[in-house]
Amino acid sequence: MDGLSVKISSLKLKNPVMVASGTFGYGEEYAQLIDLNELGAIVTKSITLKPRLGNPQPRLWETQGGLLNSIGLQNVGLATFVDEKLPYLQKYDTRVIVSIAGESVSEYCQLAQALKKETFDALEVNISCPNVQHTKKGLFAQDKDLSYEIIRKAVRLSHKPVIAKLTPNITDIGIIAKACEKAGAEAIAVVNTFNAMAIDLKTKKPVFKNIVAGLCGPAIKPQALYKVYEVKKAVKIPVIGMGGIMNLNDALEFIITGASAIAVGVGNFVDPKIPINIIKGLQHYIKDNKIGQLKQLVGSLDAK
Amino acid sequence: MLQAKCRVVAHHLLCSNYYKLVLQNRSMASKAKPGQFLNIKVEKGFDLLLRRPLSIHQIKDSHLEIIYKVVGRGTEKLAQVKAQEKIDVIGPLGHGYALTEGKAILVGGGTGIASLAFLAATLKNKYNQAPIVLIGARNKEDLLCSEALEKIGCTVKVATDDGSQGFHGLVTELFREMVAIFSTHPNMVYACGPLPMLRELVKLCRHFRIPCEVSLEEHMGCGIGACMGCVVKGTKGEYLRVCKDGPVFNANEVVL
Repeated sequence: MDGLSVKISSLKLKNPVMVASGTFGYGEEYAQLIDLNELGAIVTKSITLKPRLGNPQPRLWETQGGLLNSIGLQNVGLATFVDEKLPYLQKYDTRVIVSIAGESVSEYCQLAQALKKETFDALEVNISCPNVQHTKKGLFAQDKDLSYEIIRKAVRLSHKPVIAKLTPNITDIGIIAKACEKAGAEAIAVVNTFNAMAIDLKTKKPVFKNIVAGLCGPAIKPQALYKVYEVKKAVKIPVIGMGGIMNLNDALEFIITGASAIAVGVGNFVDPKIPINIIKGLQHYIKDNKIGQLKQLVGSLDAK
Repeated sequence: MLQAKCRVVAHHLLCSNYYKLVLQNRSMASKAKPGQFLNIKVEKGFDLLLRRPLSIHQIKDSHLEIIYKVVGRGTEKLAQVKAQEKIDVIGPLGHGYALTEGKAILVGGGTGIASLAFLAATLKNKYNQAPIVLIGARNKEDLLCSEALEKIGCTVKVATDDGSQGFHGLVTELFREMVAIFSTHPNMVYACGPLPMLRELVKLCRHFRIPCEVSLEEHMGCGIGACMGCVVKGTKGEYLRVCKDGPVFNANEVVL
């Protein structure tokens, strides 16, 4: 297994395969189908200060090779998470990355502060959920100053490695990534879902009440890959790549482009075994290609 | 809950666009309860991304039977699967019907009757009392499960939209007549079918003060309770997961 170990700044993972926030709950359900101990890391469903109801139905819409979602961060809230969900995850031999989402800078601070004393491995700061209101102008991760401020405060208050999760819905993602790096983030998670919509032809209405929803799945993989490329060019800290990863080849593409680790998102719905299959596939790949350490492959893209 | 590649034992057209699929998996079959469902990957690739949740119609030894209607791309794809092929299945999933002793009326509309047939057989076996079953269908060609239900001793009443068999009208009207006019007062009503049918039935059950359980249908993401995609509004204002908190709910728990 050692050939697969990777470092995300100070965070050491036994392998680079994670499960993405929002697609894995708090691990309990999937534990019945796969061995969570095999995963490199589990990123929890984003936690908010108070329990969150989420958006009205419909919340899902299937597209060709993709899925639109508008869940709206329905979650149990910080207190229940700490009391009931986190202890469960701590039993496993995998890295636990807690994802947080706030409605304001102050909420991110309260979350980071409250989680300081808890036992887990890293904090993912979700400043890019497209399905909830951030600021009047858009998402936090569309504003470099707000991104800087939130990440800076999370770093100072949490005493844990901080990962900034960014949105692809921006002209130059590199600017935001740089701001997060400067703020002290140890890694950048690239990317959250793409803004998209669907129409009900019978009613001529948008399917989703918010009109906009987030697109994920194989349909966005080439776009997500390019976002990883752009972020990798902009920053020196590690990048965690995600967006439609369904198999070994997808994972390799992200790693070669520069992702030190990758996350499986909607793939978990399609086949809960995908993360495990990718881990096994990577083991065979490095053996067959006589690569001593998988990390040698990270960013080996020949773009000349 | 298990994930397995299940062999298709049989797969054939029943009537109009209703199909019966028989899968082989001993451990899934032994765990399955009435009202639970299987989440089936209908194609090997990822064009059609999500699995399709389908209610269990019947368990026969190590066989799991499903009756489904072709309604969209997913079920169209599923209909092409041939006997002896293997398909990827996760199940049994969800919270099924709560079994109660006493006089029960089962009300099924369309393919809704499929999961109720499993319930009828289970109630018969457990309490040695076969329930009354009301089946709603568009016409007599689309009528499902009635003979099999009669065979296990159920009193079966049929309502068709066009009057081609049984009561001419909605199954909910048939239900109202039975309870109001013939004073058939059950201890429990179990229902599965289209949303308008369930809404009307729940209203009638409230009126007659009969406890009622409804099985709901919703597009699902993960199917196991992790993604919060397939929710229904609960009466306390919260969103409940159809895949895990349901698909069967007490009518008092949900806002339909």
